[in-house]
Amino acid sequence: MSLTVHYSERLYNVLLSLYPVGFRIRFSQEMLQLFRDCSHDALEKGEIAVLVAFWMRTARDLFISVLRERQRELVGPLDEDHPLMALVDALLIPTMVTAKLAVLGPILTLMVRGGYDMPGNQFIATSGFFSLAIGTLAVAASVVITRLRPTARLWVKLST
Amino acid sequence: MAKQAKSKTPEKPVESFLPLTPAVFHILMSLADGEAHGYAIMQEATRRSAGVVRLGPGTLYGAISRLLEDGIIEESEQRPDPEMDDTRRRYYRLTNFGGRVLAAETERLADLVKAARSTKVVRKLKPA
Repeated sequence: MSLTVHYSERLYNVLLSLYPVGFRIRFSQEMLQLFRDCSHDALEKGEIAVLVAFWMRTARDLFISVLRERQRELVGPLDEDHPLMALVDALLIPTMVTAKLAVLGPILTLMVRGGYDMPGNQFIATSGFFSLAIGTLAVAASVVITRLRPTARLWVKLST
Repeated sequence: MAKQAKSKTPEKPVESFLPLTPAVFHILMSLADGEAHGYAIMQEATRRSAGVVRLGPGTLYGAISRLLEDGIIEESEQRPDPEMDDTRRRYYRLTNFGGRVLAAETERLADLVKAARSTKVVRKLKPA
């Protein structure tokens, strides 16, 4: 049984490396100690099934918390007023719209020309023009919308 | 004499931390009666919630990390008797600001419960 706990701990120790470095340095020893205590608690109940159930809970907890800590490391605390969040907000809509228009450009060209009856270079240039023109408009529109957002939020707040 | 770990002064108002997640609320409740280490916090949360809340190591220390950053809890350097002490453990305690956050959340929940109890359905269907 103690061998089971020993290998259990070693595996958990390896899995702790999935956390971001800063978090790992600060908390990994405490987390390992907590895991050790909980493993012993589970085994005191005398059944291997209890340890298996504990491992399943721990694996779920590990998966969720690793994702959360990695996300925190990438974007910082999920604070709407954080400049990085504002930047992501500002870039998200134009990027999505531009990506879609990159696909729509050639389709639009085909519709306007009524079929593929132009040389390859001319087709690429025309569809590129459509993508770029509509994409630029979309980016400009989303920048305006992003700037209007605080006013809209204030309006919603006041009207409720 | 016990030394207190330095914590940054919270800049945000108490209300900006509400509502607390169940995990955080249980952690703060566990620390309300005094300092504790991770294992004690986890056991206390399980006991208080009758086994409903089971904090895993990742959830517990993720929450502790955020609470330390926000100045709601702080690490305590006060150690128990050397005979009973385990040097691998760290002890945490509520800050004054953390106490105010816990009190505000308790008040918020009490108001909610009061409102829920005043509804017809809850008055009629009281659990046996």
